Amino acid sequence: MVSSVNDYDDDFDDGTTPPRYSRSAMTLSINRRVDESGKTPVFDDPDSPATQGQIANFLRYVKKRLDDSDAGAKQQAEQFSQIMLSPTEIVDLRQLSGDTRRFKNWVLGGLLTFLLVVGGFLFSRGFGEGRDANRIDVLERSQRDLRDSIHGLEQLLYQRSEVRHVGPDSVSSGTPRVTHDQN
Amino acid sequence: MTKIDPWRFFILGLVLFVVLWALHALGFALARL
Repeated sequence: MVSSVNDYDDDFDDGTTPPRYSRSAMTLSINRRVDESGKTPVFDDPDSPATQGQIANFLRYVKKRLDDSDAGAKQQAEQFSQIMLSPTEIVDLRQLSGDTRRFKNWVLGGLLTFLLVVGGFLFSRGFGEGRDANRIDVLERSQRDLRDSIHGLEQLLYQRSEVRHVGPDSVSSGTPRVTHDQN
Repeated sequence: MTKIDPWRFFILGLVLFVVLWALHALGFALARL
């Protein structure tokens, strides 16, 4: 027989241990509850023995408190998870409905396909442009070589040229002027 | 559930543009090797 509230064992009948709970707070609230109802004032006196009914009442009360605290813990956990999830908007795929998940899959697939097609097209375009740039480089180099060789030939022609002609201004001046036609 | 954010689309477009441009440049650089 339990003689006082404070003598209750922490363990339940089935051997499980209740969660952390302040015994003094429990006792106070029980005493208040009992005092208000006026039916079981025995708990106020720790030395008087409790009846079976009082013990049963107390166990029911403890069970209810534990259920309430469980519900509160669940609610708190839910609120906590919402608070933790909302700022970064992390969406757990398991929490999404099937439609939303399917929609997200379609969007992701479309995005990847778009990247693949347009990316491949642009890649090949870039490759072609690079090849064209290579060809232009080759053409420019050969053009430069050609110009150099033409210049060399002109110099050679100029040095060995016997072609001389009188320019138009030599008539007015009266003295023939020897010019080399570079063309 | 998930709020539709216009900025998200803007950033997505920006990322797409950069990725595609990088692919183009990669092709160009490979051809120039």
